[in-house]
Amino acid sequence: MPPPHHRHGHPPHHPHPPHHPPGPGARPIPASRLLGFVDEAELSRSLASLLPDEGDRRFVVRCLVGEGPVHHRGANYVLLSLLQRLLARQPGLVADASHGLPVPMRLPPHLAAAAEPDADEGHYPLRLPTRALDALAGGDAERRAAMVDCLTDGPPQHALANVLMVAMLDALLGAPAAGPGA
Amino acid sequence: MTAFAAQRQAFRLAAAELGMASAAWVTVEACADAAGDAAVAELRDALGRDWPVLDAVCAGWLQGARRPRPAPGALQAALAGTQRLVIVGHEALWIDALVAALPAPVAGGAPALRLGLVCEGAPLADWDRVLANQAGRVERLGLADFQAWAGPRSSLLTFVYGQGQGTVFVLPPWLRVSGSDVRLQFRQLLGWSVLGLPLQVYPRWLVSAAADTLTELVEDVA
Repeated sequence: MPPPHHRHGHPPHHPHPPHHPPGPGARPIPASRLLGFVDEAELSRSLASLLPDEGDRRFVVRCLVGEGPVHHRGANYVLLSLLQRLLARQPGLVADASHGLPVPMRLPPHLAAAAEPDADEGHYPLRLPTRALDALAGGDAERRAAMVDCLTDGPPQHALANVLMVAMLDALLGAPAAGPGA
Repeated sequence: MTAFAAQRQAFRLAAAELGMASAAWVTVEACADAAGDAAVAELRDALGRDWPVLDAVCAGWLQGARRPRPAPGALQAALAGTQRLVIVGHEALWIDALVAALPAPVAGGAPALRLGLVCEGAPLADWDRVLANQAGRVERLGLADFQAWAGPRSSLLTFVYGQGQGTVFVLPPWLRVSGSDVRLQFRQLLGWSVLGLPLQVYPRWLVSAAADTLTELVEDVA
């Protein structure tokens, strides 16, 4: 049975949070409990095929959900978990982040300029697949480059989640379309 | 210069070039060898308030503690997968032990684990002299360029002198290198607990940092 509706401004008399925010600006879930749904171990397990090295995976999971603003951490967990569920519906379909473009760390410019573009160090331990991006850009190299820039720039909470999501979407979009009889 | 002032200056230089815990153990041992436990008590009274790590070592000595033999095994285990280690803060006894435990580089080849020391935070230290003690095994880094070593096979390490509730006592340069811009560019941020004795006076020279600035605290256990 659905829970009773509570009008804005009237808090419920039970300890459970309401299904709708009670009013503009209100935060029904305290920040200390906001990430209660984040299961780092589960996320790590689900990323094992994308990041086979345990140390690399621990590092990336820390970047995704271990540090940074809580709403980004929570959102990363939700989106990656949902995409993982979608992938799991197609047995045998595995996302791959071992090929594609390197994902650079945002080092101070004078140090970034000295880093070798294809070296492991100075880059995150995964790559951005480009098949889906190529298709989306319609073969326009500048458009694709701009997409890559948008996806990989900024703090690692964003960039790494973007890369992993693109890797999963790349796999999903590259899979044969399911027909009516499939 | 009074004897007290000379003593103070000498310890300050030793602490700068050896590290506070290393200098404290060496000094306390020398003091006890020369003039017994009474001299250690006198040393504590003279310098302990200014040097909390020395104070803790003096107090520990008087209660039977002796110089620890640094055991880098747990640290080496934590460093699995790391190829470059950026060390923030200097403790000669512990770095010596780590270097001794690592496989010697093949002649002409790169070592499996490169070590870099961020040479900051001790104005009296002659860093050329400090690094010369490691015979080229430890490379010089600074605050301006240590991120050149950033990467998924790179880790940061600092020394931890004590713990409180949710806090660790570390050297100030740690706060300069563990900021949000840097911490997601390194595989892990390790603390190596080196003192193992309670700090009994206000820990000047050290800072209290949130324990979760470290991804792992490695105890120095044999």
